[in-house]
Amino acid sequence: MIEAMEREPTTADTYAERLFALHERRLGQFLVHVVRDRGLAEDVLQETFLAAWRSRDQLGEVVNAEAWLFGIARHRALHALRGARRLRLALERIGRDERTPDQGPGPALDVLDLLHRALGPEDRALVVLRHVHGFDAPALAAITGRSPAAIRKRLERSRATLLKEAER
Amino acid sequence: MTTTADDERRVEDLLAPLAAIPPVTLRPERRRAPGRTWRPLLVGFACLAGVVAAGGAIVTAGRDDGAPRPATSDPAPVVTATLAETVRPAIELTAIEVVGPRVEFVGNADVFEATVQVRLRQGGQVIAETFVTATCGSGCRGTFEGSIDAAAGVDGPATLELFTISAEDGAERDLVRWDVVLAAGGWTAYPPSTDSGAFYVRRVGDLVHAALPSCVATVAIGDIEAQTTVRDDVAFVAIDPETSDILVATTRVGVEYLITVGGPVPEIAC
Repeated sequence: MIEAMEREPTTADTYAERLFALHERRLGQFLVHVVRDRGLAEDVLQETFLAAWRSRDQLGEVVNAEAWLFGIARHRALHALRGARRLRLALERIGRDERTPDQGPGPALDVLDLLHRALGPEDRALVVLRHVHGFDAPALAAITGRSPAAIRKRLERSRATLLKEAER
Repeated sequence: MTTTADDERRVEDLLAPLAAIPPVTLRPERRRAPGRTWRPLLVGFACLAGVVAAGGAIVTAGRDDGAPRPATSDPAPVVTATLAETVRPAIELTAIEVVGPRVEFVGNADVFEATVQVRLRQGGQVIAETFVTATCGSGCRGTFEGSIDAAAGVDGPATLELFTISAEDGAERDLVRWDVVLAAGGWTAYPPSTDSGAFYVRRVGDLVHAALPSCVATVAIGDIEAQTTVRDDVAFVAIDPETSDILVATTRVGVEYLITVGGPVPEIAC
C-alpha cells in the first residue's frame, strides 16, 4: 500500500540528501557571508537543496561533489542578490526594511561589513570560497565555469581591493 | 613590495573572524525533497498499522555486510515527511557512519532543552555514553550531529541508542535504536605511530573504509571505483585486490595518495 503511494528512495536520492546534510552548515555559512541577510540566505539554502535534489542523477558524473554543491549555492546566491537588490530598493521607497538582522560577534560583523563594502557579489563569493572554505583555483574554476588562470587573476585583484579597503 | 602569497595570508587572517558567524540551516519543514510528500493521514495510518503489526516492539536487524541499518525504520527523510503532520518522532536519525570503533551520526530532534542522550550497547551492556545538543529544542525541531567511541579493542555488533530523559520523572523516552558493527579489532591505523593524520583501514570485500582528516575522496583502481563527499574525517577508498594497494584521492586538492599496505606510507594532507 505504501509503495503504491510513494516510491522508496533510490541510491541517488540518499546520496543527494546525505551530501547536502554533510555540507549544510558550511553552505549555510558561505551563504550568510555572501548575501548577508539571514532570511535570504535560508531561502537560497533551500533553493540549493532543491536544485541539488533535482539534479541528483548527475551526481554520478560529478568529479568534485562538494564543488558542485557550492557551485549551485553560488549561482543561486548571485541570482537572489540581484532580485534582493531590486526588492530592497522597492522597500526603501515605501519605508520598510525587511532584512533579518546580523548575528555574530562584533569583529566578525565588522569583517562582513568590510567584505560587502569592498567587493561586489561575484568577487565576494570568490574570495570567501577561496579563503574561508579553502577551494583552490581548479575547484573554483569548476564552480564558476571560468578558467583557473582567470580565477587566479580575479582573486588577485579582489584581494588587493579588499586589503586596500581594510587599510582605509 | 608584497607578494601574492603575502596577500593571500593577509586576506586569510583578515577573514578569519567570519568563522564565528553562525550559519543558517534549513528548518526540517523546508528540507522535504520533492516527490516525497506523503499523504499524512493515510501514511500515518500505515505507520500505526506497522507498529501494531510489530506488536508495538522496536525491531532491530543488521545486514550481513556489516553496514549499519536502522533498528526501527529507514531514517531517511522519507520518514520525516511521513510523520511530519501526524506522529513525527521526537528524535530522527538522518545519517550514520561507522568508522572503526567510532559511530558518527546526524539527525534532528524536538526534545526538552534540545538534549539528546546517546549510548552504545553491546550484549545488553552499555559500553559508551554521551549526549549531543540539537540546534533547537523544547518545542522546536533542531538538528544535531555527533559521535560516540567504543573503548579500544571493542568490536562486533552493537546498538546505537538515542533517547531523552523526561523532565517530569527522569524516565528514558523517545528511544531510537540502530544496529551497527564496530570494527576496532579488525582495523589498522595508518600511519601506525601518529595521532594526527592517522586513519583506519579495513578490507571489506574490494572496498575499504577509512577515516581521514577533512578529505573529499574519489577513488578508482581498475574497475573498482568509489566516490563520496564526506564530512570531517570519513572517506571511502578502494583497494586493489591483486596488489592490496589502497588508493585515496582527494578531489578538493587535486592530489591522489597511493598507499601500499605494509609499505611506506606517504604523508596524508587534505
